[in-house]
Amino acid sequence: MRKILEIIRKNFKILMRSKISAAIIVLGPLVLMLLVGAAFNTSNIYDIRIAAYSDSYTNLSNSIVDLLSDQQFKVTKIDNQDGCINSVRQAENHICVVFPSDLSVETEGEIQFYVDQSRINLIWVVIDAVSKKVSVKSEQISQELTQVLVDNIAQTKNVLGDKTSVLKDLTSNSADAETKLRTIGDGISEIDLSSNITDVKDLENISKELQAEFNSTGGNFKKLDDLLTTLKTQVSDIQSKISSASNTLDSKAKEISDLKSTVSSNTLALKGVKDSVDSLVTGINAIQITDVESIVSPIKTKVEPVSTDKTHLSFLFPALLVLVIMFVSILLASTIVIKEKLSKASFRNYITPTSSLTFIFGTYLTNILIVIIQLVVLFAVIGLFFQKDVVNTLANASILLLIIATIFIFIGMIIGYAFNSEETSTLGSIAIGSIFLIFSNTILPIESIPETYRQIFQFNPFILSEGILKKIMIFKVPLLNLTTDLYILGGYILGLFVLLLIVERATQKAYLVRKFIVKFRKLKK
Amino acid sequence: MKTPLIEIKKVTKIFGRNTVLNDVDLNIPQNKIFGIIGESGSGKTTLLKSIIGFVKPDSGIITFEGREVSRSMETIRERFGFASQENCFYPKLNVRENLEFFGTLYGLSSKLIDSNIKKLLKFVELEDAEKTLAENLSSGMQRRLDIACSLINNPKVLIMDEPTQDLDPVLRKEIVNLIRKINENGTAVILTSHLLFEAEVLCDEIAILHQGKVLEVGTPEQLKNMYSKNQEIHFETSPGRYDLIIKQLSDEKSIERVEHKGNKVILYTPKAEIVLKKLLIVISKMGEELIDVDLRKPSLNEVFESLVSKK
Repeated sequence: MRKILEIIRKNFKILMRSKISAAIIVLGPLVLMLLVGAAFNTSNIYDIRIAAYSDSYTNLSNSIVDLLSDQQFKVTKIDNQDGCINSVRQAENHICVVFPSDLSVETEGEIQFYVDQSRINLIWVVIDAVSKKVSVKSEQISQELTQVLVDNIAQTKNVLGDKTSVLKDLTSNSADAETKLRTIGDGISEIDLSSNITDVKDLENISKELQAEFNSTGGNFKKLDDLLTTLKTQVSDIQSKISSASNTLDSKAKEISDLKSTVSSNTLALKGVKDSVDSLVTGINAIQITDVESIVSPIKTKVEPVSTDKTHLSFLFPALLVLVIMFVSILLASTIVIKEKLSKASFRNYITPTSSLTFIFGTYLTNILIVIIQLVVLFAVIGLFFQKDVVNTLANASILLLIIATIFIFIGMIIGYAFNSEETSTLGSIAIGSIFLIFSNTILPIESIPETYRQIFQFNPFILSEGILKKIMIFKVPLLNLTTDLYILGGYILGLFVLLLIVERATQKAYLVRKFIVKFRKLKK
Repeated sequence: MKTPLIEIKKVTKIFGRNTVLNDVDLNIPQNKIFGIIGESGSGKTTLLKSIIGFVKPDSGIITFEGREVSRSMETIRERFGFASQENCFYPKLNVRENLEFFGTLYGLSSKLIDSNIKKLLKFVELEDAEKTLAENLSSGMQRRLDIACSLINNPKVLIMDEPTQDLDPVLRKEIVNLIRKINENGTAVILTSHLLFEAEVLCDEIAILHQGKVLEVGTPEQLKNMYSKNQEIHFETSPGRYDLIIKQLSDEKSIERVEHKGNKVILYTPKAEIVLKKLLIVISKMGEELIDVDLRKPSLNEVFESLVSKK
């Protein structure tokens, strides 16, 4: 134990006596956190530059431009479409919005967005932000149009309601007329114009018989005969009239029958119309949602965050912590190991009765202490200046932070033992750190890489560490609920420690011997 | 005969196509200053590193006090100190911190470390520089610190690889004296050097290594007697018409070689007394003023050259 403490003491002294190293250890995380905190302790995005173009602006397109021109966005109207698109290519603007000429509600124009997709991490934020603004305007127009429709429907409903009674009266009157026509028809058909004087011939025959009687009696029947003739004429007239009246009645009875049929079908039609109107009115009355906003957006969505944190810094903090721990641990560990390995004193260390395990533990503990110092500075800065509640998660997160730091320190130490110069070791450390960073969720979500690779990269220690830290720091999940993640990290530590021992055994002495052989060969030459 | 401190038996080490140590047999005695001399790349450092178990021989055995080195690494590490050609300490730690650090790695108690540091600082004359960062020390002080670091565990054997390399004559003398003091304190010293005159004055016993093979082992005197019949006459005259003097001595066939070294001339001859007599007569006849004359035994350098040329 004394030997380990002495190694740590020695490492710290050497580190602190190099002013730049000491400054980096203390000031590095402080400056980083101050900058990140000041920059990202907000939920907004700033200074998004929009280029706008239209052949001819309308009130609608101008109103959208006005809507876009607020604190977040700077809108510049460009004279031509190519210039607008080129300004995005030349990174003068983030997005080019091309409005169709004479954009109005009546015309079916599309608003086109030209974006620079190489700005992968920004572009979706810009598209989302601009689309939201345009959607607001679009929704506003939809509401206005829908309001007109709703008003007209309401008016129709009122008018139809008024006219329903008229239709009812009309139907009723028509039914009455039909009944009356039926009665008239029946009355006509009941008129009997038949008479006993079946035939004027009979009356003539009777007259002739009376004349013959009177003649046989010697009576003067001339007057009677005249009277009979007159009567006969009159009866014939009557008969003729009755016949004519009968014909007329027959004709009128038929007309009345036709009229009745017409009235009857009109009554039916009126009833149909009334039923339809009734149905329309019922239908209109049945419309429960008359609120325009509800019609325009019948399904309302609301995005609720699953955490109470709101600023970029809150969401960034776990990734930032892992990033700091990763690069500090890998670079520091590899540098300390390679410096020790290249140091002339390493030969003397090697020939002392001190096991390599003691040096490994000494180096590891030096690194972990430095990481702890840096984390204390980092948490102090963020707690004091930005988010006080972050410090509350420290108790739970501290063990995890040490586990994460251990993983990256072991990786750094392996790199240090594996390489033979400070330059290659630093490059190796940066390369490994960059690989971990690139294939994490920080730059692009790992869901964007093919399944096979994703299966591999989901075990990237950066992703694992960031994920578990996020659960603890943002979602406040207790550490005990994360046993699976902890087992994986524990497995990493065990595996890396074994690898570290193998690499150290294989390289440390081999390096000293190789150095010696190289020197020997030079002397031989 | 005393049991040797270290026994090296038929040790061979090959790096790639280079046979660095070739069937080396060597016994290193107790409590002496043992020098291994040879040209650069002759295998001196490999031999030292094999002794401490850092380089594993491909064949052969090395034992320390009868125990095989490869099987007693803990003991070797505890009982040996090693000062290599480079300064093996941390430049960003001060003198005391370096000694404390290595003392702790040797598993010494804090009390013992403290007392050892006190003694060592006095011994290597770095008391005033106790709190000075190692990187700010002069090169001589740095070498002394490195030696102090090698001695922090009170080793039984101190191995020093080219301890005076890259030092100026004054500093070199300092280190030579220091090595003597270390040995006088009871620590056996094994050192390598390519500076033969230094090894000659410092070492009790010397092994000459050439192309991975031990050519000869013995005390400097033994080696010189074995490999050189010649003696050296060093002389200086004024005004120093050496060409004429040498011409006058040309009938003396026993003079094998003449060397000019600065203002002096060295004559190599197996018949030193006769040549010296003749030389003094010639100088006198020529009216030269004799400033200095010295009769010396042959140097290790000559022995070395003689041995190497035979191979």
